[in-house]
Amino acid sequence: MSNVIEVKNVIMRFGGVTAVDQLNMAIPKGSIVGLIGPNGAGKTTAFNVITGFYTPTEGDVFFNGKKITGTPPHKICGLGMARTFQNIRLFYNETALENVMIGRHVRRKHHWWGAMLGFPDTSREEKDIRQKAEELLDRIGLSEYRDELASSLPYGAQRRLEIARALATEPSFLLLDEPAAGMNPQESLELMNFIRQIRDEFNLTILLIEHDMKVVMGVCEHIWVLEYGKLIAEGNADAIRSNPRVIEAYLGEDVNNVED
Amino acid sequence: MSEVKNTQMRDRLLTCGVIALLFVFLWWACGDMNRDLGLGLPRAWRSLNGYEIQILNLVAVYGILAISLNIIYGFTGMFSLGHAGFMAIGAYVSALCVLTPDQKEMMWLIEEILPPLANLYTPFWFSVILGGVVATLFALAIGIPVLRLGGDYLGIATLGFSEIIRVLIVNATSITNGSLGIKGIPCYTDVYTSFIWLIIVTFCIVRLLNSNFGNVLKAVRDDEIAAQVMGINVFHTKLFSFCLGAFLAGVGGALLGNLLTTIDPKMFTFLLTYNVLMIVVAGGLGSITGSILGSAIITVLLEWLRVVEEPMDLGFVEIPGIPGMRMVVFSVVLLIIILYRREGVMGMRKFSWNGFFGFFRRLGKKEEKA
Repeated sequence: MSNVIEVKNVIMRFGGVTAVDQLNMAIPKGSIVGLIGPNGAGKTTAFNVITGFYTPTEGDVFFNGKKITGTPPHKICGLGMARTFQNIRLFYNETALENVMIGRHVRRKHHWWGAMLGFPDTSREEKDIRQKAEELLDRIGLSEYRDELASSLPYGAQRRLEIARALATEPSFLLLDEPAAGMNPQESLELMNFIRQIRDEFNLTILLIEHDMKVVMGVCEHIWVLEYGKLIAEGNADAIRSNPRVIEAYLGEDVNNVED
Repeated sequence: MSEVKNTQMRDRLLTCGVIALLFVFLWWACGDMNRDLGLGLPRAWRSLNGYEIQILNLVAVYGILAISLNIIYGFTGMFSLGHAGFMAIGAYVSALCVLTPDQKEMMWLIEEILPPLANLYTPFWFSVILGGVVATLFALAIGIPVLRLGGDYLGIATLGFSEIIRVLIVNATSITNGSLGIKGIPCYTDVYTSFIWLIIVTFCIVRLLNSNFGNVLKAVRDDEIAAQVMGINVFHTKLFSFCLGAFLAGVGGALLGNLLTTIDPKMFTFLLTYNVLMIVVAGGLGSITGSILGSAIITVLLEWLRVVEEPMDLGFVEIPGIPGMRMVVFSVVLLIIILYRREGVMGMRKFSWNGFFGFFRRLGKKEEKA
């Protein structure tokens, strides 16, 4: 099994702060993996390095064996990587359908003058974009919100719409930044099934950041734990759960140790 | 499915009908109808007078200009104040193309006109497009460094650009005749020409904005970071929109120059940009329908409000004519729009026949209830 993403010795510094320190990750194809850690551990920075928003101070990122360090985000998206955001970033003045259609833009072949003058090729592509977007909304179960403004959707639907929009770019690798934030236990459970379902249906590899341990432990095959930018543990759910350093990072040091 | 096709067909027919009606109206307004058909209508019914026709012309030209600014500001969210600059470029290029060599020889008094320009002579439609193309080239040159700025900074930088263009025009005497301006431009912009240009521009832009490219422009306006993640090259998209807007501003400027037959650098100050901006904001940012409605309302209103500048006798008090009074009234109207209907007349909505009929249906229901 080959690796979709390889992160090699990545260091990201902002002035004097080292947000990510010597990060090494290798994500096998077709897996669902997680990146966890306390607040401010550098998880989102790691995401931004992988998706091209930051160029790492040192180290490299490889996507399907190709070096993508320093490639701008829109090109990385073209290579087949998509992500969602911790605080939802939809296009709020557009309808749900239009949001998904915007995701299809990166795969289009014809130019703008065709659309302006109404060339038949472009019109056909235009129809195709609309149709594919509608199909996707159907599959994600959002077709009831098709013509509603994204801003008027309920919270859970907005989260799912953001994922639908990311899927519209036809990614092979999907990054989810806290997909379960603000969800109740029932919704989290549904989310776990949803993540597995899209992995199987769209042949994805998924990396997610999450604070909800039930979701992380339930869905991830491999987990990395960050603290202060450093990788402190990795392994499957059981190994992480029983790892003393992880417990320490989340719950603080053992009281007995403090007294020593 | 066939129902969708039927509505499409109906919408197309209705649109064609409205355009045909518009041209019948223009035909009448010019007085050509009376002459062509030999109707012998009474004088007052024959046509609009020259002044009213000029207003009609201005409505069309301002409509084009408002659409061009709306693409940049309303749809892509770039606050650009460089419109007068692009219009000046379009107007001057077009004027240089349509003047005859004899006229040029007579007019350039301070310095002789540059030799290659002296014998330049092209048809009117070509000169208009050339005006747009040259404006686009300038937009490319200014856009590549400046579009990296956002928000107010972009506004200031483009405002500076438009002032630079004006100063250049004043000083490049051998090309532009300096501050003397250019007079005697043949008046090619009659009502038919200006409205045909308006219809072509609206048609192309509406098609473009209804396609997925329109969605992409709006995506850049709403959230640049999310747009990048969706694989949109934000900088290219912004540059594209800026250049498209500049092209149309150049076209609008060329038409305006040919309409007024006289252009000089003083015409293209910030006030012109402000007029267009006012139309766009009052009509609705992000609505092409709003831009056209806005240009019609504001252009007509500006002329109609001249009444308040005349001396008035209210019976108990006599008001002498106050020049500039209409601008005061106008500002108050604008204030009211901004206070009570911030999104403009149309908001972000666009016109559709379904919406049009829906509006009347709702109106009918309300009346039944009342």
